[in-house]
Amino acid sequence: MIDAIVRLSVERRYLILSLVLIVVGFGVWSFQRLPIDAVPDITNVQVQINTEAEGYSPLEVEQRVTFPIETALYGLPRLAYTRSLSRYGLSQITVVFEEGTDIYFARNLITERLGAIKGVLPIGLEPKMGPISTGLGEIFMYTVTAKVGTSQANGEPWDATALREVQDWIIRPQLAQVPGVVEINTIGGYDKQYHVTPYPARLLEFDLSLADVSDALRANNDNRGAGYIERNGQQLLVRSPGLLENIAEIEQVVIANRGGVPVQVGDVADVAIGKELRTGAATRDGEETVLGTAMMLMGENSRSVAKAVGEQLESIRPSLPEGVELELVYDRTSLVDRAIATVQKNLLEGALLVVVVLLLLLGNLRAALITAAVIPLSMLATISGMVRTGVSANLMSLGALDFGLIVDGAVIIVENCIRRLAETQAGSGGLLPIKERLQLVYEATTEVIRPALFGVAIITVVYIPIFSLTGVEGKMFHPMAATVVMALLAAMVFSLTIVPAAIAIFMNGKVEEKESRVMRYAKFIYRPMLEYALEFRWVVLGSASALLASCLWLATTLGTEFVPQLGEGDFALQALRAPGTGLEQALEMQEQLEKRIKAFPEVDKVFARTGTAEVATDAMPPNISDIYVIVKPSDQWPDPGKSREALIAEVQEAVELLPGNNYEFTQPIEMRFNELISGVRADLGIKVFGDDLDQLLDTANAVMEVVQSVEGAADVRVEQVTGLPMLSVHPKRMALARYGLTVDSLQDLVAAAVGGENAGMIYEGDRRFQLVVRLPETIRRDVDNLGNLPVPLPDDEFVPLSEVATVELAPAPNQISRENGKRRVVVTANVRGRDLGSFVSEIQQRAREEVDIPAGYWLDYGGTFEQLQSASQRLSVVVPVTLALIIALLVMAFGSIKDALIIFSGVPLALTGGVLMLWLRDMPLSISAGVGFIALSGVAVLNGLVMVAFIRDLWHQHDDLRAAVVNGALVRLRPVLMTALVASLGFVPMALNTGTGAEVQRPLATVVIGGIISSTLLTLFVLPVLYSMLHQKTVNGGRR
Amino acid sequence: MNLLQTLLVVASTLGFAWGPAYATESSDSVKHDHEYETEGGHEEVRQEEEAHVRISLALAEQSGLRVAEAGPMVVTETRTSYGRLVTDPERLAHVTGRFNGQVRRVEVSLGDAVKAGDALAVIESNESLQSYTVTAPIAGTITQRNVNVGELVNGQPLFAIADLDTLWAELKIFPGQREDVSIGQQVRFAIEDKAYDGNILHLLPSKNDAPYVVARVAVDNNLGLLSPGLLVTAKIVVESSEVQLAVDRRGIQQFENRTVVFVQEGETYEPRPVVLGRSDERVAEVRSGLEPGDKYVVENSYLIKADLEKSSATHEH
Repeated sequence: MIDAIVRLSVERRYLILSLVLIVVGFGVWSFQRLPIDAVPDITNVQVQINTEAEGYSPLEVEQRVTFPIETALYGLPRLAYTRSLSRYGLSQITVVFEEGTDIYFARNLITERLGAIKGVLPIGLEPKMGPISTGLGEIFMYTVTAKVGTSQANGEPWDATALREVQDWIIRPQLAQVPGVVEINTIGGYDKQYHVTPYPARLLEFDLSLADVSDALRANNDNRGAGYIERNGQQLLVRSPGLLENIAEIEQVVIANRGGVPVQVGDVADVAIGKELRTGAATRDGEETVLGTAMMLMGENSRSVAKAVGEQLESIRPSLPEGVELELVYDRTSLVDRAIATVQKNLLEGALLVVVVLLLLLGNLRAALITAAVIPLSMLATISGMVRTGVSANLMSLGALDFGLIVDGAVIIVENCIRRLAETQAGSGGLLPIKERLQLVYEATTEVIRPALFGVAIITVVYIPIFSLTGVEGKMFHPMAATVVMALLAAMVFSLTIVPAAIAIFMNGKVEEKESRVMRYAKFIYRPMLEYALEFRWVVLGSASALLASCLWLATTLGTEFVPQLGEGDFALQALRAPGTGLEQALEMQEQLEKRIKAFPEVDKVFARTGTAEVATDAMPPNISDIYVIVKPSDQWPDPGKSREALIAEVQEAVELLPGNNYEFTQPIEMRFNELISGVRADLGIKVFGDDLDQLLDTANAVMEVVQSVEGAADVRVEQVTGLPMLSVHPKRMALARYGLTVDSLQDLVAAAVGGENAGMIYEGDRRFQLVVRLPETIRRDVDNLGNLPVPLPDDEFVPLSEVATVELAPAPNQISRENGKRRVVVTANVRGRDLGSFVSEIQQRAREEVDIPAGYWLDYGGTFEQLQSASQRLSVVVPVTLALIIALLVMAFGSIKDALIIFSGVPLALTGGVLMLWLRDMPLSISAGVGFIALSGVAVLNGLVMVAFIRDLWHQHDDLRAAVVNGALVRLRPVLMTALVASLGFVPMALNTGTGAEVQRPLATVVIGGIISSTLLTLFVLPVLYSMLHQKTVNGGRR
Repeated sequence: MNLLQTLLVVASTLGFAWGPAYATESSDSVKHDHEYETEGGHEEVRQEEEAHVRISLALAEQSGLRVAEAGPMVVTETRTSYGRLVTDPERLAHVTGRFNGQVRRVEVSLGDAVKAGDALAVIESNESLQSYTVTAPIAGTITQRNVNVGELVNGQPLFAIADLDTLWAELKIFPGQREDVSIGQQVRFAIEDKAYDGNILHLLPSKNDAPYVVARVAVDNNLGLLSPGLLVTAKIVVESSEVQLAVDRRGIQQFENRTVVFVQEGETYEPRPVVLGRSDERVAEVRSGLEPGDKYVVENSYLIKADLEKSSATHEH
């Protein structure tokens, strides 16, 4: 069939060549639709259900909100697991679905279930699903600040509340309309509220309660429509406006009548613009600010959406009030652009180098151009394929592309055609007639097409282990493997069709085999060396084995890293403070911290989120801050040569000194991924499931003791579950009964007094603000005197709170984590100096024996070791299967197991060069390097394949093994050198690049370059030696 | 079978390339370093004797840490109570006519201030047909005037005179505070932003068997700003004494379920568990755990607590 295709390509060459136009057209069209991002999206299919429960403590949130919702989710189709978090005022349930589940389908299912339990949840609580976004969603952030010395229209200086109002009612509505933006999330400032703060003593004076105040406000704040009247044929609408509009009107609301005198709100309370009880705040460069984040809809193109948001931001600017500034602080576009620039540079330079090499070695411009043409064509075809399969263009997916590797097949074909053409032309002494030329091209192509195709097929096959990776690693590397395979397949198809067609058309002139000086010289050296090698074959084999053995040992000394880190340029850190730290305190510490970071001349901006934003996409308690450090371009640094790592280390050193903060250094996108994927990040996580928190903690501590005693355990920790100081107001039932009170009325009072009670809305046009009744700040904050709060009695008397309740300060759970509908406490541990497998099994066994686990409680083991187990299990099957598959392919190609094994022996020897090179450049083994090894095995096999095929054909023709080996090797010197040079030179820019994202590609390129050197040596010397040795026996045995 | 061996080696090499890579969960060496450090901090906390924080003086200054010396201070313990102002019953006079008769003249109007002995009205007796003068028994303000000229007096009260110079606050003392409150204690009032002082003169059971006692305090109303019926918030000074050792309450923190203050020694700060005694809104007596002259953190003491506890700060999801 292959022959038929090639024949068709040669005969219908113009038709085939016009296919190029289709490929180009489709490729360009696809390119417009290609989602471009910096990194692959590793978020799982998840839906967050957030329920705000104002004033609820963690325990109540869990009992009233989290549990009912979790229960409702049982048995959802394609549900993987749920995990939940109950924290002050917030229930967050993360529902994770199986990979590949349609997000809209999943959300639909959840909506349905949520609808069914509406009645079970406390009144007024509304579960909401998080935005349809992924870890890559936070593409654009901006701050709203006021210029120094400017003031609001009413003369007041700009404060956080006023800026927030600008954000909520001017900026956000406009930004939210940008296509591709799913949510504008706001943090910082205060939601403007109207506060009515009654003084308890004044209330007592008029025998009023807090409830009387809020009832009065509710009853005096409404507009009502009253139908219409027809008068003399005209329709009149009837309406009674009664909304409160300003502070003066609120003050005049009458609460009660005492002795004929109306008691107004203003008589017992202050009315003012107040601050909400906020759960989060934003800071920038050491000062409070308002921070807006544009979240991108899942599956959108982050670059174009971020750009559109940026443009919209510009058009919003003129509509802002005087003195308010809108400043962009984080824009994904710049990172994407940088990353794409890196890839572009690598690919372009690589392609150029490849063209140069081809030109030099082939000595024929047309041939070089035909070969090089495969590069853009296969690129365009790959892009089309990426769009069709939904792979986005990013550092990972494009990072492993090497055009040298891709054109290998074409190189072999073109080289052979030229050689044959030149030979024949030299033989016949002139131009060939067209028919002969076509026939020659056909023959020359088919001569090498089989090995070339098998080579490409084998390279494709070696990528299979990558496809077997699952989870985060899978998401990272699948696109990479998919892209490479697509590019290879495209190149394979082109070398079958377009390349022969183009040769047939364009190589019509005189083809001189200008054996370049380089080639002649190479051959001159190679021949005697090969002869020597054949002579001293044991030395060759021995040194090859020694090299292999030493490299194996060397490989064990290399460091390892699993997932490579994509340098995002900017970096981020999380500041973790003691649990229970208040927001205002945390902000003070945060401001200190930011000033310190800002003092670095390399830092452009530093901004942070502390606590939870309006939409709880990341439910952080107020003691944690996510800090983004935006770094200036390195040419603006005082020392442009300083590495990013050095800067981070310096920053770390500086901030470590500040008291009260713990840090985790990370990067903006990475941080977001971690937040979303979450799970246990230590090597081993032992989850204790059960009901009673105290018991859970006891068991967890017992488990911790066991783990600590196991050899190799490090960083053993029990998840912090208690520690939030809580002020509990316990009702005294007897006392309440004596005064004719109910527990409910007492709780209402405490809630309204401290937390405030919503008494309606104040409307200003579109803008709407809550009207809240609560005690004045001075009284509310005075914890010591909470017991003196007067509780009004039904008979116009009162009693102090301490008479009917005890006020107690005690630590309480600061958050309750659940997984799959059960409470859990996690014990985490890392392993040092011991292999994880035996460590885990020892702990499992000892925990079974030594820890007394009560009925209804159980342990579950998770953590990175899970991945290790599943991945190594899978790889231990997949890798041998892959190797077997390669051999099977080789056997198919040659019909000889012996030949297949000879070629296959090239793989380990090729790897030695890669290992050596890694060692030289001081790089760890990583998946990136692994991908390099994979590509390398492919190249090694490809070269060996072509070489062995030739030697064998020569041997079959002339029956002289030694001559066949030497001549075959000499004939194949040029293509072997060519493929080796193009493949390795194509990777040189990548290996040397230091731009954004180069971290991922450097190890890969390093391995390939090093490996190709060793692999070429191997193909040129060891392989002929092996071939002659093994077949010598056959010859001697006389079986042939 | 050289080749088969090679094959195995390759398989193991490839396997190796992935295998151990799983052992390290993250490539972020910065993070790892940090974890070790955190672990160190954690151990510090566990061994309580050694728990301390080192902060350079400059940084302490910058972070707003302020220290003070523990020493003798006056602790004024108070109890808060609410009550209403009432007129002094001893200074309230209801004036009646001694003999029934017709009112001839009324000398005063509602609200007039009178002295004792001032004439209030002239009444002509029905029996003697003699006129007699009704005089004010006490000085004060006319708060009621129930008669007019020509009306008949039939034993009903004609005037009420109240002396508002001194009012009484009737404070409700609920059982929870009863044992702390006794006669003679000083009481401070803040009424509409003005401070008033008084002493508890009586403790009476409440009238209608309500479960509290009433503490009566005389309040001087020379300025005339107070009126009966006004609700007052009172702070009863239960005890006021100089204690040998006291600390500012802003310096007190809860640490590992104990009450501590953070003592500064040079550049290190360490938590000292203390036993507190009496306290008021500002200061608290230290019964044990601290020596006079010890320097402890007053302002921003939370920072030290936060630094000691930061190792337990994690971000779980």
